[in-house]
Amino acid sequence: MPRSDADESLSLLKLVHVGILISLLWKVRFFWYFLGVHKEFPVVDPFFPEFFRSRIVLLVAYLLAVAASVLILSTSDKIRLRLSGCVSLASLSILCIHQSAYNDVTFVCCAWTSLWCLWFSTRLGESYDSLYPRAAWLSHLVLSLIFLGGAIGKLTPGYLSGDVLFEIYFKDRDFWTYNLARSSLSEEGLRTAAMWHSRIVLLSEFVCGFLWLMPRRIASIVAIVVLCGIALTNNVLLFSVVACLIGLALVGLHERKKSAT
Amino acid sequence: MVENSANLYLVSMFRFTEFMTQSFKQRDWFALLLLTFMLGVAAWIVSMPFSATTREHAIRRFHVASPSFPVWAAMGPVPSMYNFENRAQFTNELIGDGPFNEEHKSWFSSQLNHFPARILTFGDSTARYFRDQRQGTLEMSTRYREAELISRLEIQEQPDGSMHIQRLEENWVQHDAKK
Repeated sequence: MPRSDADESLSLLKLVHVGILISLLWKVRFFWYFLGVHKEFPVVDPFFPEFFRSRIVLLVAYLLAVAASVLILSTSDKIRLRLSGCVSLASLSILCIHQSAYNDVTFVCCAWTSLWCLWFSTRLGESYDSLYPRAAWLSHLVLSLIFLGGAIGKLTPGYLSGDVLFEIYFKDRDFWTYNLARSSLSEEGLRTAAMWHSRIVLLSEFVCGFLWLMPRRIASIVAIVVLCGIALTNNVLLFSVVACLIGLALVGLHERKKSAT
Repeated sequence: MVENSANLYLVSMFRFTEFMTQSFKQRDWFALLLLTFMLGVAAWIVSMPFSATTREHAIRRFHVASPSFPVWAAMGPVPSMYNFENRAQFTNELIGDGPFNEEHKSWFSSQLNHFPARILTFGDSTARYFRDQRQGTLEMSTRYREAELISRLEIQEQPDGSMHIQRLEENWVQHDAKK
């Protein structure tokens, strides 16, 4: 029996929030440890207003973001969904500009995904057939924007020559891909590998900057392959960054099956 | 080639107009607002290689050295993972504007993926660098194409045990964009 429009939309919203939840919980152990570090070593950067330096604000914003996603997964009430969506976006936005979290790309990616979810939660009453094409295109547009930000910022000599990634990853990063490269290549070979790796990263980010132009299913598959590739070949902790984006990419694969008439 | 570009242009225009038409039809103003916001962020990103002003703001954002916190926070939504060439060197010595002593045991220098100022405020790097002495000097540089900003910060322990960051100086360096 085919599902109703509301059920179909709700399941899509929940699917994307699962991605956000995985992102937020992936590094929970580190997050907890970092809170302890901030208590023991209270660094004060007067550039930030006191509110955006506070440990309590950091902790509450993180817990609220997690709680909002959990609540969204456990309710179908439209008001609660929208309120939780607002709480999720507000908490993640605070984390994006907090002294102790602004640099963690997890929160920027989660905030963009949460913004898409908040929009989607306001459209749950619309027919799925008219909503879905817009939802999928908008999700690809968000993903394209995130990839575009990465690609344009790498258009600088250090990335084109591979020097930046050589120092960050190839020189001494303890991860299977780089350990393998170090054990099998000379210093010169490593530098050449870093250069090509850097250029491939740049190219794949540029290609993904145009997901919004691709056919829906292909765009989603390309995004998922690239996002998983980033985490599996560089650092599995990066799943905290890419999980929410994978959730967003799955929207393009959630087209309702046409029932045989 | 010209035909492919024309096709791409047509597809992109079709996707935009289709989205806007459907959103108008459904009275989905949120979607149109979201689209406008995203186009604004995309325009900001795409202008970075061409506009010295955008570039300067983007680099200052990485050094947490924007003209004010609201200006810095307004750039929060701009995705910038692994942007620019970032380097930081640190020592627990308070050296003011003097040279770093590379022989000093707490000296370190490293390439960083993004936001080099984070080593003072984020996670285990804070614990690592201030474990022995709750003070130090950080110099960071961020280069994007021909523009490079070098900033120096000093961290001093306060009587209450906290560590305050003070910005000492900053210098812009111009490079040949291709080297």
